[in-house]
Amino acid sequence: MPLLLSGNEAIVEGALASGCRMFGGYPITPSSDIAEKMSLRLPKMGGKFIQMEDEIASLGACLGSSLTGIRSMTATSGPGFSLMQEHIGFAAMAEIPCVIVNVQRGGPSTGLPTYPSQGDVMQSRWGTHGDHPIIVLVPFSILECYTLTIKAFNYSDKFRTPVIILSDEILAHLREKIELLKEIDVKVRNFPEVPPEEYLPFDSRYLVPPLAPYGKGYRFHITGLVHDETGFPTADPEKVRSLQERLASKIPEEEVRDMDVRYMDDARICLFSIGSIARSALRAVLQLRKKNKKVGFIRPITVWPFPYDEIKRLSRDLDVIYVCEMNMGQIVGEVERAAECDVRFIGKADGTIISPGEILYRVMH
Amino acid sequence: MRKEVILVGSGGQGTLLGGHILAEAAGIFDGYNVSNSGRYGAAARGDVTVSEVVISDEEIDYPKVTKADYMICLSQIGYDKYKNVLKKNGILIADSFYVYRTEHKNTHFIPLSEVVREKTGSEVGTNIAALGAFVRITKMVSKEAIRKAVKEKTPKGTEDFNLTIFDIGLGKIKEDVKVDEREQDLQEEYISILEADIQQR
Amino acid sequence: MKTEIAVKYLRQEKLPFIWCAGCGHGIILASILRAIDGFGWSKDEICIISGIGCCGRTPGYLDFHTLHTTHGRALTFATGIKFANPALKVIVVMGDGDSVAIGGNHFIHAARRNIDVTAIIFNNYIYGMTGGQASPTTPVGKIASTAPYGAIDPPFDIVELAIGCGATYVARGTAFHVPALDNLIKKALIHKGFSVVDVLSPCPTAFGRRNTMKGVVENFTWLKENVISKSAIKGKKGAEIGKRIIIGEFLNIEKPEYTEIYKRDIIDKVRSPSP
Repeated sequence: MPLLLSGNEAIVEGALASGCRMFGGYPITPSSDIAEKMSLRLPKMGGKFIQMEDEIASLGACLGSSLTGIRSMTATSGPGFSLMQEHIGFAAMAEIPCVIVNVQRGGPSTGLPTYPSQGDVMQSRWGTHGDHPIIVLVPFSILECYTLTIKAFNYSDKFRTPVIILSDEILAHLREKIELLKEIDVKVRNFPEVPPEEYLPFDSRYLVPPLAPYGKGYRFHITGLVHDETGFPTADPEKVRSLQERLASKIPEEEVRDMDVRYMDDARICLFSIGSIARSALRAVLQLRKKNKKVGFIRPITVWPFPYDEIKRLSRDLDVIYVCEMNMGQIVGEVERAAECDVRFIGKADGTIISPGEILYRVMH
Repeated sequence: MRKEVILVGSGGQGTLLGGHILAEAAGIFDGYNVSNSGRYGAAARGDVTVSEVVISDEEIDYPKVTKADYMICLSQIGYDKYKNVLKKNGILIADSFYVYRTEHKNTHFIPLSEVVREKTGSEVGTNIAALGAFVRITKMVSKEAIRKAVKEKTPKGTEDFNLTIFDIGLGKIKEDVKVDEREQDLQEEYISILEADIQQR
Repeated sequence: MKTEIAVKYLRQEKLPFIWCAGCGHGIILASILRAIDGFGWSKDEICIISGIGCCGRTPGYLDFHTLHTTHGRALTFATGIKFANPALKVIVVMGDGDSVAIGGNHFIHAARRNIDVTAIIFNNYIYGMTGGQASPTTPVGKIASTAPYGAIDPPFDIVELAIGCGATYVARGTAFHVPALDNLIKKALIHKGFSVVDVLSPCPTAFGRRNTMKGVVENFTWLKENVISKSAIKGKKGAEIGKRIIIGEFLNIEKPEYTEIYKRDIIDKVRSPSP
């Protein structure tokens, strides 16, 4: 039987179905009900829930538990996401799998706690200092809140990286009907193929070296300092470069790229949007199509790495791309970098959703 | 077919639960696609609360209400704030105790809270009675679907109570008072008392 | 440290230590290793976690599961590791700035939960690695690179802080009183619950140099002369003790431990059908 779930509830279902057995969190609107549901459900499955003292600690605890081989998740919103940047960097550097849900709300600072925004798109890519790989998935429906959470866990294990689910206040408390999957495609992280004495936690022969869980005979060192293959600090430029280059290339755009592309065959105009605002854009596209306007729709589901090549290819036959986002102009810059056509921006960050009518008005005028 | 419903009330009247039950009934038990969202905030402390339900037999792209076909309203300040969301010829189901003046022609004033109070001694359940009236007037969702959703979504031990209240709403309570007649009935004094009361709350 | 212990537990290729001559950190490390060796624990069941600073480098030398985390956050990782896998023995080593300045919030909450983690604080009154800035344990009046006119912020008493926050084993030792330190660390490691050992460790380079204790010997002499053991103060009057720092065991009580409570009162309860 289908279920009527909110976005936050669907994320919980996706996490539990993926085998997430540890959640460390700190309450913050509008993500708190993820923590609440996890605290209720996890112990029933033998999993662990811990409410930490802040968001830095929440992600720290998740990274600790992930190092013991347990799939771990935390969830937060704007201000908490800012605090988590420190440990997102650590997870990227130490290559520790984890899933971070950021239910975006209006910002900056305390901002608009109960109103939506898409103001963290760039922060999710560049929020922590230094160059680092990251995967950011943006759901646009309750079903995707569920399926992308499953995907997030698989990606985080496969690529030994933090994966961010960028939801927002609209999806958090929107309820829709979804059918839970009977069989979940769970791909857990690789266990080392070599005995402990030969194991290198950052083995450069791999793009993504296997990560041994603590307590299984593989004793190794992990640090947030730049390290060599053995995991120990180094400042040797050659070794630093080797690590940086491996990190920069370990998440291939082609492999993790996921896009929702519709009505593009004959399109001259395209509405480009991500997450919940793509719902408004899609409505606008359908209404314009009814008026025989040749309008297409592009929605990256994996927003980072950004699909530059694909946008470039798709833009060749277009006159203009309208980028609709609930912020003062973030992802539009990336579209401009990629597109070979005119790019225009439709956006606002006043706490109200961009309605299909607002998009229509801008496109028609 | 895409139909938009908006439920408006004050914090504590069960507006959000009402929308949730309606969505559950339409989506899970009547098989439509549904999107349901609420607006909350300081609502638990008496502010206006709103629940939106979009019901469709097609994929729902935009999940929020743009122009509502139906409104269930349990508060005058709520009506005043959201009256523009309801289409001009949209159907309004209004609690006749808490809503005293509307601009929509198709207003059904129904003494929901009064009848619930008469029968049970408290107004808890007015939201469920309103769903009864909604089903009777709009026939958007089936009675059976709402009954199932009420059983599932109301607290354990209160299901029968809530189903009884649903039936109260479902039955024709009194002659629905048409908007024009009602306007005449309202004495200026009565309005000012109510306004003062609302402001206090 | 005895050669066989050094050979058994140190990652030989990572030596020598980065610590300066006269630093107390190596002495504390030896004390930890003697305790572990005495228990006969397997190297595979031990996790040693640190934050940032001179003390933060400790795990790198040790052949256990080692984790060098971010500044002040070692206890958060430790909490996650212990909570996820209570079979692991989790030891956290932190400096004074690490544990009670930037990590103060994590310290008080780890203590509050009474999670079975041992926190050993390498307390040298100063931020050594970054060049001698004042820390939350720098005594009032002492000179630091960010307190050129003398520190005015009252220092934390880590022992009292830990007791106040709910730790169930709390002790203080020094890098000079080694047999006593061995004993305290041993007891902390086998204690079930959150255990804290505040260890005074000289830093001639960053602290002593600025505070009339340039030489290694002076630093250790200062510890010798200004510390008194808990057993030695019995029967002594306040005036006789003076401003001397008291070392020894301050608290050793039994209280339900966090991971055990979680299992007993939450997991087992919700999983077993209620009668």
